Amino acid sequence: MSQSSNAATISGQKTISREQLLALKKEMNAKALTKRRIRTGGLLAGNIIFALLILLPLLYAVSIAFMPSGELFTTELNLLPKHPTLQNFQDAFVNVPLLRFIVNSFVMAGSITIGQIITCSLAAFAFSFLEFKGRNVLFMIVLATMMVPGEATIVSNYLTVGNLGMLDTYPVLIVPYLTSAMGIFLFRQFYMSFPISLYESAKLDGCSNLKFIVRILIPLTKSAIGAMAVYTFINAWNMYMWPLLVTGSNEMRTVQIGISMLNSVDSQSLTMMVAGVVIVIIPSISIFIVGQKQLIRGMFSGAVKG
Amino acid sequence: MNTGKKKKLNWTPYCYLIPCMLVFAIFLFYPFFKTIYLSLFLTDRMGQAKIFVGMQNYIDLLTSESFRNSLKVTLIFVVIVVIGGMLLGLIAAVLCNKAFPGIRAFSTAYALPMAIASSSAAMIFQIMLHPTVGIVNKLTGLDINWLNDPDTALVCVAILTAWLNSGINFLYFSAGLGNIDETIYERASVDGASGVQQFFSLTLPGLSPIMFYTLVVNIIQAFQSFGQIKILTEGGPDEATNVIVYSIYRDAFFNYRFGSAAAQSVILFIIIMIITLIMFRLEKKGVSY
Amino acid sequence: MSEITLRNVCKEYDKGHFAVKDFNLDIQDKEFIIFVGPSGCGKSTTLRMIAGLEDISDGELWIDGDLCNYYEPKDRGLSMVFQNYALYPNMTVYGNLAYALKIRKVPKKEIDERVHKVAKTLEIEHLLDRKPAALSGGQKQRVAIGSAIIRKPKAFLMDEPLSNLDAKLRAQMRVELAKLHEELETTIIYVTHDQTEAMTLGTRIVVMKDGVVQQVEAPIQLYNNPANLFVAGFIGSPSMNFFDAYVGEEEGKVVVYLGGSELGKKVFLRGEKAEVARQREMNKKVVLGIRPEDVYDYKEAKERGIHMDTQGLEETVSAREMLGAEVILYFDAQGKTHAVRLSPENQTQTGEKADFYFDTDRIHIFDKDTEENIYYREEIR
Repeated sequence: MSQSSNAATISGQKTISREQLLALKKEMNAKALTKRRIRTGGLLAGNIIFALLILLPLLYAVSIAFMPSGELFTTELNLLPKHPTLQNFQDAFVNVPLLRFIVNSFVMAGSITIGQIITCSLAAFAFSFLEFKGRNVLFMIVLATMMVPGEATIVSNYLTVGNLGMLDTYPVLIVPYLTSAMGIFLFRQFYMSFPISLYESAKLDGCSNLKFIVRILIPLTKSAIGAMAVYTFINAWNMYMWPLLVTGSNEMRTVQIGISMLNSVDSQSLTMMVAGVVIVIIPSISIFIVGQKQLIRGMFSGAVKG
Repeated sequence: MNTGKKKKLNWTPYCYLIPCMLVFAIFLFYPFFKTIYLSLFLTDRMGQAKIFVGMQNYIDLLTSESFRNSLKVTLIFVVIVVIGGMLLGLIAAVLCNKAFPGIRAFSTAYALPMAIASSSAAMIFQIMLHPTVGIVNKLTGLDINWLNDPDTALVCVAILTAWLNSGINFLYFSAGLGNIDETIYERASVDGASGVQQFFSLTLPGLSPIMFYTLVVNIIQAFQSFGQIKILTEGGPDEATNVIVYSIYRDAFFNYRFGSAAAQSVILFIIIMIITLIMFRLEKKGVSY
Repeated sequence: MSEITLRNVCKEYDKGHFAVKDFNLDIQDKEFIIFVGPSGCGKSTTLRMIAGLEDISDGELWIDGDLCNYYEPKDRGLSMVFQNYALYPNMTVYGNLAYALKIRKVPKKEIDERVHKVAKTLEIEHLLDRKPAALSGGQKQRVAIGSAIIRKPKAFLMDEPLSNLDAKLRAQMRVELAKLHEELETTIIYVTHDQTEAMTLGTRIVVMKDGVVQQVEAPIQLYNNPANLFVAGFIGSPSMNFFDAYVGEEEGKVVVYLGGSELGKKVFLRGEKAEVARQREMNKKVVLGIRPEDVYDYKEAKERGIHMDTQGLEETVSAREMLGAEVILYFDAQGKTHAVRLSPENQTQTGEKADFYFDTDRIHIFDKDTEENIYYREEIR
C-alpha cells in the first residue's frame, strides 16, 4: 500500500510512462481484489463459525439421535454416529405415548393460536374503530397486563382450576391462554394504519361490524395474523410450566412434559431421550422456518420502530 | 356519531371486548389479586386461606437464608442471561448485516433458538454437559460434573437460557440495524472513521432504542425461566440454581405453602415492575435520538 | 491547490453493462463543476467513484497527481454532502460538525474554534446543542454543508444537496452556495438533475446521459452551443423547440423545409450557417432546433430588426402563460408542443392564431442519425 502510493506521488501523472502506469494499476488491482476477497472471506468465515456455535446443540442432538446407544459411551470424541440407526426413534415411540403427546400439543397450540387470533382481532377492532366510554382506560388496562409475569399468577390460577375440577383436561390447557395483550396491541397497531373512512364507507354500504372484520380487516392484515400465528403457535408448543402443573395423565400430557419423562429412566436411554427431543423440536422448527419471513415482517413493520 | 349518545349507552363495542376481557378477568386480574390476598395468609394443602398472618409471610421470607439466596441466585442468573443473550444476538446481527452469499441461511440459523422449547433445550444440554459422555468435557478435555457442581451449575443453566433468548434478540437487533440510515456510514467513511470507530460512534448509538427495548424484554423473560431449571438442576445443587420462580414452584407444589409462594410471586412482580419503571425512567434521560 | 483528473473512468455492473463509460474530465482548482443529467445517467455513480464509495471498474482517478483509484475514502482528502444530509442522528449539531475533526485527533480547542467559526458562517450557532431530529430541512442542509466545509478538504462533493428542500428554500440555498464557493475558494463537484441549478451554480457543466458524457462546457456556451440534440433539449426551460425538417436548395439559397407540407414553412439560412448545412446535410432529413426566446411574433421581429427571411409560421395558440416579465405561448405542431417566449405586450389569447418568425442566426440543426449539432464547435481551451 505505502509503497505504491509513494511511487504514484513521486512520479506524478505527467511524468509516468504508459507501461509504468499499467503495471501500477495491475498491482493495485490485484491488491484491491485480495483485500476484498479477504474481507468477504473473513465475513463468511466469521458467520460459519458463529452459526456452527449457535447450531451446535441442535446438530449435536441430531447426531446423537441417530447414534446407537453403545456408541455414545466411549471416551473418545464421537461427533457423528459410525453406524446410524433409527432404533432410538422407534424406542422413543414405544417407551412413551409420544404420538399422543404430539396430538395433545397440536390440539393445544392450534386452539390457542386460533383463539388468540379471534379474541385479539375482535378486541383490537373495537379499540381502533369503535367509540365507546372508557376506551382508553380499558386499553391501558390491557397494556398493563403485559407487566404481570405469568409466574406471579400461576399459583392462584392452579388453585382456581383445581377448585373448578378442570385439571387434566384440554380446556385447562387452552382457556387461560385464549387472549394476549401483545396480540391485541399488535393488531391494533395494524388497524390504526387504516383510515377510519375505510370503516365508515363499509358501514354506509351496509356492512355489519362482523362482516367488516371478516371480509375487510382480516384479508388486509394477513401479515400481522401470520406473524401472530407463528409466534403464538411456537410459544404454545414450547409451553412448559402450566402443562406441567395441570396435567397428570399420559392422555393429557403435552410433548414438552412428555419427553421429560424419557429423561428419568436410566442413563442407557440417553440416545432415545434425544431422539424424542428431536421429534418434538421438528414441528416448531418447521413452522418457524416456513413462517419466518411472515413473522419478521409482521413483528417489525408495525410494532417496533427504532 | 350515534344519535342516542346521551341517554342510551351503546353496548355493541363492549361485546367485542367480552372474550378477551373474560379471559383476562378470570386468569389474570382475579388470580393477581388472589395472589396478593393469599400472601397474607397461611393456607391448607388445598390452597384455602386459613389463618390471617398479615405481613408475616413476607417477613419470614426476607429473613430466611434460603430466600435471600434465591434472590442472589436470580440476580446473577438474570445478569448472565441478559448479557449473554444480548451479546450473542448482537454479534449475529452484526455478522449478518452486510449482504454476502448465503445470508438467508445464516439469519435463519441465528434466529432458530427462538423456536426451541426450554425443556427440549435443557435435555440437549444435559447430554452435552454429561460428565462422561458429554461433548463439552470431551472437547475441552476437562472432567467437570457441570450440573452437579454448585460453582458451575448456575452458569450452565444461564448460558442455556442466553442461547434460547439469542434468537429473538438477533431479530430485534437486525431490525434495529436495518433502521440505521446507510448513508451515515458512507459519510463517516468519507469523514475518515474506521470500521471500529463507526461501530462505536454510529452503530451502537443507532441501536440504542431497540437495545433498550430488548434489554427490558430480556430481563423480564430471564426472571421467568423455569423449564430448564426444573429439568437440569431442580434448583440444586445445594440451592445454587434455586431462582425465585423455581422457589415458588417448590413452595407451592412440594411444600404446599401456598401463602409463602404467593408472597414470593408478589415480590417477583414488584421486582420486575421496579426494574421496568427504572428502565423507562433511564430511557427518557439516556437513550439518544 | 487541487486538481482532479478522470481518465476513461468506467463503472461496469454486470459484464458488459456500464453505468458510466469512458468518463474524461480535468477539473482545475477552485472550479464549480456540475454533473447534470436525467436520473440513472450515472452522474451520482461518478461522484461516488470520486469519493471512493464505489469501486472504479476501469480508468484512472488522479487527485493532485496521485492515482487514487484504490485509496480508501478517508485518504482522498475530500468531503461530501449527501442528498438526505446523512447527519448522525445520535449526535448534536456540534457533534456532527466536530466528528470528522475528532476522528482525525484535532486538538479539542481547535475543534471548538472551527466549529464555532463554521456555525457562524452558516448562521447555525444557535442550533449547536440540538439533535438533527429537531431541525428543519433547511437547517439540516446547513449542518450537512457545515460538517463538509469544516475539514478544509481538497474538494467538496455534493450529491443533489438541495433536492429535498422546497422551491423557495432551494432558491435561497442556491445563492448561498454560490457565495460559499467564492468564500471558500475550493473545488466543488456538484450533482443535480435540475438544469436551473446547473446553469446558475456551475463554472462548468458536465451533461451526462446513459453513463456517457455528452458535453462539458461553461453554462453559457452549453446553452448557446449544445453539442447534440440531448443537450439542447435538456438545458433551458422551456426547452428548445424541435422540428423534423429537410435541407434543400432554392435559387442558390440553402432552405430548411419544416416537416414537408404539413407546416409548409421554409427557413432560409445565410452566411456560415448556410455553408455548413450545404456541406453536411444537403438533401437530408434533419432536426431543426430553436429556443423559445428566438421565436418572435411579427411586431417584435420587426422592431428588433432580426433577419426575417422566413415565411411566418401561422399557428393556433394552445396555451398562454403570463409570467409578468414575459409571456409564453404554446402551440402544437408535428405532434409536439412548442413554446414561444415573447414580451408581455403580446395579447394573443388561447385559441387565437398568430404568426411566428425564427431568428435564423440562432437556429440549430441536428443530424437526424447522429443527433449531433452540425454547428457545434468545441471550445479550445
